[in-house]
Amino acid sequence: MKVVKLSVNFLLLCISILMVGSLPFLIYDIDRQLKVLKMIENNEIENTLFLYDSVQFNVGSYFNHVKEMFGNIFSIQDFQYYKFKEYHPVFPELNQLYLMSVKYLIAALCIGLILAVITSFLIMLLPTHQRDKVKKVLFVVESLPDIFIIFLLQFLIIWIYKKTDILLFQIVNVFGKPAFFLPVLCLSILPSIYITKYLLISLEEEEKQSYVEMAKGKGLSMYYIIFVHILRNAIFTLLFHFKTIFWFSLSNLFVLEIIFNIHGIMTHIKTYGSMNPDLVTICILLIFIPYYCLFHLASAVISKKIKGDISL
Amino acid sequence: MNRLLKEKSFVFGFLFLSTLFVMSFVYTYGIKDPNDKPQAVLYNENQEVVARAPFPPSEDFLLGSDKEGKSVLTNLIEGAKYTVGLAILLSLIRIVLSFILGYIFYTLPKLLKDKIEVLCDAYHYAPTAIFAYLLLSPAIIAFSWSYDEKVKLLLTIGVIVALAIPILSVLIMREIEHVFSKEFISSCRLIGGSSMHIFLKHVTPFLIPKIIILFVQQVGQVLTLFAHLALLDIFIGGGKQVIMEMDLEGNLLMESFSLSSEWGGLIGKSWNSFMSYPWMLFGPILAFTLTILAVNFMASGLIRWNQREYNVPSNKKSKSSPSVMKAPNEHVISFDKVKLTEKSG
Repeated sequence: MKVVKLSVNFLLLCISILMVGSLPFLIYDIDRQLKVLKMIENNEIENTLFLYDSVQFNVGSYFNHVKEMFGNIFSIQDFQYYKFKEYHPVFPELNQLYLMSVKYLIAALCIGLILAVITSFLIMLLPTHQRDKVKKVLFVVESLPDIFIIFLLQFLIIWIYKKTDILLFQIVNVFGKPAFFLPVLCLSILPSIYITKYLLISLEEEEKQSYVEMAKGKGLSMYYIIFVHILRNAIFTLLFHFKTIFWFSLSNLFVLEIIFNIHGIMTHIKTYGSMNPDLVTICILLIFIPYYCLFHLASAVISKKIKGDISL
Repeated sequence: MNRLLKEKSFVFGFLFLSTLFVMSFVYTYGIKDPNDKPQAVLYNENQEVVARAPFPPSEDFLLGSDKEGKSVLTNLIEGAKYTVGLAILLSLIRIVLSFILGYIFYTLPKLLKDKIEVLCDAYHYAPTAIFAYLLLSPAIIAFSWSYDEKVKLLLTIGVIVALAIPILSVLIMREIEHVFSKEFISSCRLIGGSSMHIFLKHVTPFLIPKIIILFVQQVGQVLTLFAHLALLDIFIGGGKQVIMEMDLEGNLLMESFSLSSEWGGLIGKSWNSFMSYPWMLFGPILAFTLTILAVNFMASGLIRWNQREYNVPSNKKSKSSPSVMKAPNEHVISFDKVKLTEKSG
């Protein structure tokens, strides 16, 4: 039953993404505009002063496009996109960019999770009134926009380099030398604070349970109780917030790729997405499909495990 | 209201925003001298060139200056009213439209509601800025020749408002649902209140604080979206692309200029020269950060105030708490026991 519901939702989400991704075809006449762009780039027209277009509602061509996309989605390899005077195939090129972005994202999420577990573990060891102070600091850092943190870190590295001539990390992507460590670190900071926040809430909830009292009465140390008993129960609740965390990290990834000039999926969208709405749709689908499958697989496995624990 | 003033974070955020706003207006219409042209080149007493704009941060230019020699700080103060004002305006439109749509969603059958929620979930698989870019960039970046400034401006505003509406209206729908599921609503139904009466008299008072919180949070989100869109060369002030020079391969290097000193535009304008003149980028980013921080402080103050006002039992009840509903509630217990026990069990 659950599988049926999930697959229906999956299908609905795909349709929803396709419909949102086709919206540019509703308000613009993309095909005509692309022809004009091609003429400009081939120097066939001198100026564009005589051209004027306004926002329109081509409902017919919009639904045609949605239908067309839905039909073509299984032959995803054949998609083409416009890039300076000619059409190029989307695929072998996108694979590499996609893998690059995913590598950053997964590495950052893993580091973020580890950092979050460590910080929340340390915060839990503090007495309550000090905990509140730390939480306030966390709130302020969490409220900072991602663009500020990423910009500041890059600026800091440049500043250190200028002062001491030591280049701590490769800052931006130049000549095929990818910067890896610093971007991943930048990317993991905000998600880790986010995870810490959720983890702390469930840790504190868990701390009030009677088994903790019992363990204390048994004379177990607080380190042991938190790390072995509480953390194990609390960490699964992160799953409920994982969607928000993931969204948040994606937004971070987007800012990061642009500021650090990493050639990933987001910069690809920035460069060619304006002329090729379909490219953006494909990119979103490429993020969505693996995420959806993996997430629901993981939550199925974990919920089974939790139920097993409870029955024991 | 008095209790709200006791929330320090709310007061702090509110003061910051209003000072910024007032300063912006006072500066533009009071202090600023329209005849005072910025100097791109500074001379000393002997008419020798001392420095050329952009000037780094110094005593004269607290946050440095831009390429025309205008101080970044005054630029930011001037642009504050556009950026913050637009953010507030757009969030207001977002909230009003989503409230209406949320109520309409609420009246739909449950199956449809769930499916709408699933459909809206699609927004969680890419940053909001990417969706905005998808819809805006054809007119603003790729095919900008065929659309005039007015269309671009209205389109930008429309898209920024429309993007949040699906998620927001589902959120408001769930909120309305939550209030409707409270016990006193069913007792009100029993005495014969029509759904419109219940909605206006008993549900709305619970919704208003939540809506205010949502509104403040939306202001923060719109500001973040402005900053993100600036990274993608889309500004609210109308990004004008000006050809600066040609590079080695003959591609035209375009530089975007914002018309007003709107903050997003300032980010986009100084983006290319980040490595050589970082302060030009630092100013607007700092301004965004402080404003977003202030907005978030306001939101957290409001949330705490709301929790105190509605969840903690106290002798002094606020106007909106349904003290009138007490009597019917007691009646309900006598003849609707089954329902009540069902709920508690």
